[in-house]
Amino acid sequence: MTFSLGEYQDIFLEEADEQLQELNQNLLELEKNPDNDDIINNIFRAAHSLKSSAAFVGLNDLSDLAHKMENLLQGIRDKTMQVTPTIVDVLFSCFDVISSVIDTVGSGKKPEQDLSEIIARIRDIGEDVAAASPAERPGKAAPEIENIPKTKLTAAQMRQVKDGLESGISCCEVIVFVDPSAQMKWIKAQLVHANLEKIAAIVALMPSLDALRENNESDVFKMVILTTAAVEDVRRACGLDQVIRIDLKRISLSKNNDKMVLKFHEKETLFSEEVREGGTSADYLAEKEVDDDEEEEYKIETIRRKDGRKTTAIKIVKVSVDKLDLLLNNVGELVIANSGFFRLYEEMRKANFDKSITNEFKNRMDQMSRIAKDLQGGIMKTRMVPVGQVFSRFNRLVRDLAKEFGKLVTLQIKGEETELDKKVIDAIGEPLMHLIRNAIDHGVETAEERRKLGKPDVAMVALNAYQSGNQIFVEVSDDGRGLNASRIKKKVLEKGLASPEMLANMDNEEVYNFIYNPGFSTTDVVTDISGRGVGMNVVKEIVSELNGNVTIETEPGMGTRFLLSFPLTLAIIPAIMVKVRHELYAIPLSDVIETIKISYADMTTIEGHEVINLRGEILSLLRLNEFVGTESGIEDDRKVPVVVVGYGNRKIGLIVDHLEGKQEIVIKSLEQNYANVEGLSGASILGDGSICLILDIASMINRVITDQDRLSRMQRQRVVGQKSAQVEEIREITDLQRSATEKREKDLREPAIKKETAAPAPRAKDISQRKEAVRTENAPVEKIKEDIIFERRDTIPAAPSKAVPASAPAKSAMKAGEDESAIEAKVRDVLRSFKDELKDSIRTTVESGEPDGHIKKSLGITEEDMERVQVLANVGITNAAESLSKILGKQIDLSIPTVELLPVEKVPENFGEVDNVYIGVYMPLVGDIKGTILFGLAEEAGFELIDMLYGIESGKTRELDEDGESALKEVTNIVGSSVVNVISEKTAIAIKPTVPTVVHDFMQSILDSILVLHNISNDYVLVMDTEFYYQNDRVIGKLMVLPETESLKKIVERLR
Amino acid sequence: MNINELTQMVNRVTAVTAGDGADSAVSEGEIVQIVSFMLDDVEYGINILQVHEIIRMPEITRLPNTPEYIKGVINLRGSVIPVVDMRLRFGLPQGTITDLTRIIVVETGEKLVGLLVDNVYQVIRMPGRNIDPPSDLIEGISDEFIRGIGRVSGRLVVILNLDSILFSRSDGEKTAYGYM
Repeated sequence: MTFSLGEYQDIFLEEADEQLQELNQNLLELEKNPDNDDIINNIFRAAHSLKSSAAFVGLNDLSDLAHKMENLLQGIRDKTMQVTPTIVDVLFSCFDVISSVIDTVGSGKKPEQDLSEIIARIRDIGEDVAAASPAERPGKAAPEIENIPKTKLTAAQMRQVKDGLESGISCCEVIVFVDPSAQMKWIKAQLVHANLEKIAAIVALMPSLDALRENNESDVFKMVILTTAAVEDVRRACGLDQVIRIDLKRISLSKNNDKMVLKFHEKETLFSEEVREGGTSADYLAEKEVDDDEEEEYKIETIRRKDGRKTTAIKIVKVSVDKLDLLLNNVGELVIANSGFFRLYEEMRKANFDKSITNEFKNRMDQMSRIAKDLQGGIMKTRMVPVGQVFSRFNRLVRDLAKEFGKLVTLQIKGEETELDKKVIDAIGEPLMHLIRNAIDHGVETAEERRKLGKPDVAMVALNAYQSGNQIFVEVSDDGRGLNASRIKKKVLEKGLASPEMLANMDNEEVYNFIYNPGFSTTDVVTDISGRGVGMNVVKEIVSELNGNVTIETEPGMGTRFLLSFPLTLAIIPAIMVKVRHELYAIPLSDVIETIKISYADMTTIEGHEVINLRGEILSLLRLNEFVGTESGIEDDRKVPVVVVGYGNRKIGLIVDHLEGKQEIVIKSLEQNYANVEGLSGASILGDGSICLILDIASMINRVITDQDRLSRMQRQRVVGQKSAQVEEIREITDLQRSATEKREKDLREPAIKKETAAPAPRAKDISQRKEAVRTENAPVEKIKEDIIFERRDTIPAAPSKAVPASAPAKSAMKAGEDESAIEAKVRDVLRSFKDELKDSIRTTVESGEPDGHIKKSLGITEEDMERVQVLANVGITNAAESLSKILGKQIDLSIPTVELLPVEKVPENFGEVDNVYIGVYMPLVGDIKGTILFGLAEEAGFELIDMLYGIESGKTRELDEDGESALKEVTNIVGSSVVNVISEKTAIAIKPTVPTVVHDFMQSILDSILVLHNISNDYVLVMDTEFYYQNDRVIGKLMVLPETESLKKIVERLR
Repeated sequence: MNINELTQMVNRVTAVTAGDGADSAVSEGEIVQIVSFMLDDVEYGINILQVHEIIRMPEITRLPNTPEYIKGVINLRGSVIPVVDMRLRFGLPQGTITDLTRIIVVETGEKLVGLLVDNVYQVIRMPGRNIDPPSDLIEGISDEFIRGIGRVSGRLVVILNLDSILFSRSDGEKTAYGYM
């Protein structure tokens, strides 16, 4: 059966928690500064509030204890007692007992702790002191009349009091003492009640009349009244025969931590037989300044009435985490459901819907997605709680532990305002406790040892929290003796956790990781080794459960630092989606190190485990399809995508069938309705309602690592000795939510570029063979090095300069049709040498990976810059569509382009099939910006565009004639100029396009001819995908701006 | 199956059982309602109070590293719930998915679980005293799944105990079959 304190339980628990924290904090302070009156007052106040609130919910024992504490503190306050360690210890014990009672209540059980012992201890202290200095406490302990009923107000009554007070009526509590010998005391109460009713509104009478009637023993009763009458009137109303004393407590509203509370002022005795005898009652009628410390507080329901006048606004609403979780869950669904619109939008576009509607749809969709994201962020923020409340708990732990181990330790707390997800806050206490305990037990030396080492006597344990990137770090550090690697190694060997060979191969960091081993924990770890065995396993587990990580930094003799890192949010994570057969799995992006492609030939099998040599490092492989128990969908001779995932400092390669892309997913627990499944950390519901399972990388790695660790050193050597695997790094993982567009375009493009025209076929073959050769030549992949990039940038400019003198005249000569064969041979030679160099540079780019990444570095171009260019492109393209429509006299639409910055080597790849024929129209730029505009189309697309422009039936144009060429030139002129003009306008740089030229060749050749002809040494191309729409036809081309590097920088700079 | 269908079925069945002589004489308080389904020739029943809803086959996502009878997980309005193939759970040969295939979503413990059955046969009302404790009468399925045997107008319905439908007693508390 659950135990409950009724409707105020929650409020009580919350308040009690705050009071306990305050108590704890102040007790610790008190120990350090026993003479500080403020601290004693604070403790007194906390005990006092605790007493009242405990009594309020009927925990009378607890209230009693708090009352006794209060008495003890009263003594200290009055200076009749000294703060001694005994007293502090007793106060700490009181605190422990009170917290345990409150914990019991919180867990829904009836508290059954026996408080008599602790009460007795307090009494003993009180008596000791009293015995020691009896003269100092005359009459101070005047017994309070114990049977005064407790003031209990219902919510409605509180509201009544509050409203009354707000409208200017005074409120007070009248306590009437009746002569104990009087008969029928309840009649007195009734009479007082009746009298008071004439001058005041009676809110409550305690005990109730019925209770008084039944119990003739009660000779005290209380009334809470609202009145405008004078104090004297009240006294008169209560002043009956046989009433021996009347006390009055004024009640006012006061603000305490944004909560409205009723403040009970110190009681004034209006009338008392003794006082009357002394004849000084008049003094008590005067308004008396009330000591704040004596106030008695009751919380008022903080509901603002609708008709409420100007009352204090409520600033804080407390919401349960469950409600927030639910809300967050719903918002997560909203975000996901919203991504479904992207698909719908694509469908609409495919179906050639009215364009204005689809655009409007897209706008709305974007807007909604933005709102959903904001909402999500907002709710996420509400879950963030400052970490300080967890940290402050440890003051006490450190104090106790230091005492226990006989060491001098201070706890330094930093970054307590750092906010963490509530879930992390709730769970982080235990791991921190273990770490602190370890630090004090094993890490920190005793004062003498420290003195010998020349360290300060008092050791320091520090807790620190801070945010960096999208991770939050929590640090536990000490200045103790640090981890001892050799002792750990010894222990590892004793326990048979690793072979000596393995240990020899490990660096210290790997050795330290053994302390997380469950076998390494608790009692069998001798305290004198700095093994930190205790609970490290628990630490690791809890932190991992929160998607976090633990790292150790240690320096023998200097100390140890444990760094716990947690993701900023827990509910929504970015993930890489992978496919095995038709099953989709998500890998949290935080676990992914890189994605590569390898061929099966590079794999080596050791004792049945597949491994590859990745840049000189052995990487164990795990076939995802085997892990999830299904067939793989890939044939053995193809290159396979591998996701390299890491956990701690271990990593493995997961062989998957296909990489689908990046996506944000909401984690749903599998345990909620089922159980934890090995290898899965949860599930997520995708935009289309289907379920995708989330892989638990940690458990997968653990499984592989145990196998891997069994490999002996020799076998490792064998693999390392082998040549490195040829690795193709997959650089770009498309964002799934947005990639639908691109994918569709690719689908459309492919059929168009598959066809090959008869004429250039032999050359195509030639090139493809050469390409083949280049591919097989691929050198082993080395570590990414910056200097490769610089090297390449040096070599490229050299090539065109050699080539230009020969090729420029050659090209024009070819155009004129003179001496074709000789010139062509020359040109080819030059081109070949150039191509080879280009290929070299392509290879370096491939190997160095992340070409897009170093764009930023080498050019200093940021995302924002790209966004600005995008805006210009949008305007330019819109203008272009207008001019086109005007010139041609028909409605031609151009889609809003996507702007990308690509290294020039990647352009052919970006176009699609390298070995297909394309039509390129280039237009050199003159003026302050040097460069070229290139409009590139797949051959088929070019033909279609010609058809579209001439308004003839699609598919009619089969070859590129003069008319066709001029049409394409015109289009390029219009579109290119529109874009360039906008750029020119915005940047105030004079740019002028010149006469366009058409090239019909392989993309590589087209690019070559531009690079060669115009001596452009640029590395990067601004590529804009453009789609032409006319009626039901659609043609896709790419508009490229190839500025010189300096010019590109200039443009970007001017845009800022 | 939506709630209307279910109600119709209940009504239909109520009409049948009402004329059922001795049974109809029992007071309302003791009437138990059972949702029944057939697997091969045996009729199994689940107390209607445990049934959350009955749905058609949605897309099921296979759950690796779990026992064979865990067919996978489905998305029930945003909740991820496991589906147990009742045929495999009872050690019967794998069935085929037809138009009649249904998932009975039941509540057991705190969890929602989908039970994949070949069909949903009917809703039976029977007095509680017509349910006998499990006996050796039913062969094949383990008695850990049987709560009792109900007698309905000459037929026998195996009333299921769903407590161990997700995990066998031997599986331990909350772990599914591991990978090993």
